[in-house]
Amino acid sequence: MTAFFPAVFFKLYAALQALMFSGFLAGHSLPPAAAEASVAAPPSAAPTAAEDEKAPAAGPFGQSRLYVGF
Amino acid sequence: MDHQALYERILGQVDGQAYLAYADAVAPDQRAAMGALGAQIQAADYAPEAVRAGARAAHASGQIDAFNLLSVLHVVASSPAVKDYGEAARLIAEKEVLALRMGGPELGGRLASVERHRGALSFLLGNYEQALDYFSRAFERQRSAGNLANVLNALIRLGDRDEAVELLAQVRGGLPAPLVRDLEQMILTDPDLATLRRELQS
Repeated sequence: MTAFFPAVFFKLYAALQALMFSGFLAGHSLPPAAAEASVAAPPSAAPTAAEDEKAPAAGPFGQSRLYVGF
Repeated sequence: MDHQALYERILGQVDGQAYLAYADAVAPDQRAAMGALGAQIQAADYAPEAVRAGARAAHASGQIDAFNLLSVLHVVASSPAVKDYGEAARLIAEKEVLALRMGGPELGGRLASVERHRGALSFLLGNYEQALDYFSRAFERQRSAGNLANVLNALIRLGDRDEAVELLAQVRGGLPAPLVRDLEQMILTDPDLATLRRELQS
């Protein structure tokens, strides 16, 4: 098994209630930057400084991300 | 949790030659088929049974090996649309047994996949401390930004932001530049890691 998969770490959005499915798997066959871009906002669209300090969303519509991969 | 021990485990695994860019566990000759299956899981019209059937067909035709077949089935089982965590856990165990039987130079990468999936399952079930342990083990076996991001995510979920900040500082100061760059990109784009963005300005 050689080093491979620019993103074997698929983005698993573990939404407990809301199924944030668009991000379940990042495009793992893409280069890292492209893979991330496929599921996440680009840095330019990142939350504001104030939003940056927020804790991850919680509750029924909260979501968490994991880099799962195969 | 003994965070110092965690740092030592993580940082002790890395040297200048250790980085495997998004390293991983799928052989080059299986990437295309696995990529196609991954894209199906990511798609808005994701249909779990269709992905399972596709994975079995890909295995039957020799496009993916038995280990990767189990990986696909696991990811489907643990996906938010299915949430069959018992099946996901069974598949993890089956993956581990198969990896040990297969052995060879790919054993470490396959076991990293097993540990990562254990961590993901623990996380999904809300046991973040156990997830942190599994993710750390995954990183020990496979040095990648993704595995580190999982560690940071688990720390933040545990409310240990200070520890996450400290670990990030150590990572940025001591790990190979490509890994640090990929991790920083994840922090810039991953909402769960947004709380660490300010640290990148220092």
